[in-house]
Amino acid sequence: MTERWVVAAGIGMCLGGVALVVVPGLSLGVPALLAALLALVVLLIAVLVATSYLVNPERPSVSLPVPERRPRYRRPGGEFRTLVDSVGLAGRRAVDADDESPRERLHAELHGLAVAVLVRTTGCQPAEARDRLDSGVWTDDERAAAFFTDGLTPPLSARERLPVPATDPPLVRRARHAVRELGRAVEDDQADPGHGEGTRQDPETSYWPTGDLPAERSTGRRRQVAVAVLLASGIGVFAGAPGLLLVGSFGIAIAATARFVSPSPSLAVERTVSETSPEPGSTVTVTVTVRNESDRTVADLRLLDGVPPGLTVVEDTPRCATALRPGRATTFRYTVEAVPGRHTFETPLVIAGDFVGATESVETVETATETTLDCGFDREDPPVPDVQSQVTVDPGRLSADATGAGVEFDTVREYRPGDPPGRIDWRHRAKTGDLATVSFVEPRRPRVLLVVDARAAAYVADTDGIPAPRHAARGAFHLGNGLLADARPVGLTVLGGDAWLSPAGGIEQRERLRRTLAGESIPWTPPSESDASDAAARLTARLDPDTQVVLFSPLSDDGIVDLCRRLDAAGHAVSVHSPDCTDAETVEEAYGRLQRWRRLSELRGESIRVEDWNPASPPEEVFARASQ
Amino acid sequence: MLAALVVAVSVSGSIPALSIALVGTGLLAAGLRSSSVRGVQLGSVGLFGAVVLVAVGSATTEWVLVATVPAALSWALAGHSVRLGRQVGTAATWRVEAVHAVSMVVVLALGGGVGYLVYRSSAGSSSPLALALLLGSVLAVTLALR
Repeated sequence: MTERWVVAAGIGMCLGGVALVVVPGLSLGVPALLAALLALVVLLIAVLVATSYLVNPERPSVSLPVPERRPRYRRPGGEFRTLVDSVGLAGRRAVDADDESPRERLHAELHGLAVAVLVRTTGCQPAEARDRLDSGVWTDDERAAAFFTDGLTPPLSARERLPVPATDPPLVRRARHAVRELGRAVEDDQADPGHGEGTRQDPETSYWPTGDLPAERSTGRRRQVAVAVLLASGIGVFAGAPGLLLVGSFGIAIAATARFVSPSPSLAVERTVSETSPEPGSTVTVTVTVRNESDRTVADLRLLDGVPPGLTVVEDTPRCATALRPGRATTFRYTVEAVPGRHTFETPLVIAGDFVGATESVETVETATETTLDCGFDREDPPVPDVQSQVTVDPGRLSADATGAGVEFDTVREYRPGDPPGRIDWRHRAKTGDLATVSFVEPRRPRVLLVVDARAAAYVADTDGIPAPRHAARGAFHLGNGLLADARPVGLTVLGGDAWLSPAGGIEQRERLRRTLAGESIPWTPPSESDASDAAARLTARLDPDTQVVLFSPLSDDGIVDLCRRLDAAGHAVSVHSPDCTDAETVEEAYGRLQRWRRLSELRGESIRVEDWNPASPPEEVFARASQ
Repeated sequence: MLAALVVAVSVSGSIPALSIALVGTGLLAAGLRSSSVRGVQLGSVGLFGAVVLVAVGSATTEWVLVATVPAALSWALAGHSVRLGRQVGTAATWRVEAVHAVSMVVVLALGGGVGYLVYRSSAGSSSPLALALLLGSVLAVTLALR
């Protein structure tokens, strides 16, 4: 409404001005002073408006995805950075606070870790390890030793007292040294992470923009034009330069075009792939055709094709910029590398600009058909993997720690009432006069539940950028396939998702396993946070008591360790296959590696079988090693 | 892009204006190189500042109008190409840029032409009230269309 009045006033003033110019006699009654005053007021408003534009910049409303690469995942050890950051923010005085300060938290965390490391590497008792930490004899690095001996507020050097922004508090520097030394104590050949801070890259939690589209966004160009015009006209009036006032006409032309010609393309997008079920590691060419279906020219069109989050572009670009006349079309191609899994393409994102580049509309355009790449897991017949033995109710062909009626002799024991007469050892009776029963090894049929950890916490990635749950899915399929080939019933569940397959055998089960593990149940983008203890409760409630559990997890948090313990306590034989996504290139990652090492050794200490697995090596090697 | 810059420099006649324009051109070129929005904006401010300086000085009205066109063009095209570079990266963009350049030239020519016609018709009359009213109308329309 106000805008309408402003426009009306503008047109009125313009007409008045033109009338005065054409018929100069009209202005005879108005003194020049009043006119100058009017000009001054107008100029003041202009300066105010211009300043407010400069002070309040516009924010872009839609952030664009990067289709070429996978989303950035959390690197293991990110929690160390959070701890260190909180120490830097809280400052030195926070030590006196009542509840646990960041410094105390960092100290407690590293102290616990150091005790675990010393206990396991030197074989000493925890009390002895604590003594060694307190005396500082555990390492040659003075700073690392000082972290445990010197208290929470180390003295500042003269330079650090200066009021310049410091890089790191001394405590944090010592903590980094301590982590590095602990890492060395665990692995001699560990790469040197240095002492500095690695590059900071925040993990992304979403990939393709959804919701609030189509959106129109300003490029800020109209504001820039407005500021330039207002200032130029103001200066023009005072300096008596009519040319500057005329500059306004350019600005008005740009602003008016932007106002009345809005970009609203009507497009059709078609996408074809050269191969819909490629082998892992092969390349697939994607061809995209965009057609302008409206009767207006699209002056400025940019298209980002929705490459699935799991695929990376290896050649050319999935982006295109063009201008299209009505009915015309353009085609572009790019190449992606196939990795195992089922990849559904996202809807392409279209950004259309107007003739003068002042506004852009961002929207998604549905393709005629949904494109999917179905890249199978490796297909060769795997060796039969060895899982732990579990006593089950069902008879089968595998040995378990159960004895009874079978073929292979096991023991002779004292007769108990109710034993079948056929199993009484009559020779023993003749020799000694006592009744004895022969027991045979009873073959059983263990059921296996594969559990894939795909909680948000498990989405950590190595430098290759593939998140741990996808490695886990590949390993789980491989193991499940081998077990099914050996006629053992296999089931599957996904932590952090809702997939559940009850243990069963047969080719159909193999296909179900493949579909679940390849598809959306284990997505490439992390799901929302979920609680590990809830997952454990649900899992134990659903599991038959004699099912054994094989867990695939990067062991990136303590919740999953508790889950293993609870399953173990409930009587399930638990084994863990853990893809190792850690690396010790920075201190943070060395910390993540240490924590994972601690979890591995804790589980091993509780007789849970843990298989450390380098995701770069093919799964058959891993399971072949496991069965030896 | 570079053509627009060269024109902008050559047109901005006087010595101080020329130095500002040169600085602006340098900034614009650096901004384009590193595809930085800030650099391109600062460069454009420099070019436009040079035009304003010339206008306040001795240049004729026509001269100012003609000098503004390349300055505005270089601002528009440089900003557009930086945006394009950010959004589509290595894809071929010459077609979009050419269309954008042509449409900008048309829009500027139309706007400038109309403005110049109004100015010509009023040449000679020096009514301060008319000037004030015209300034007011520029302000109002700019605000409404922003």
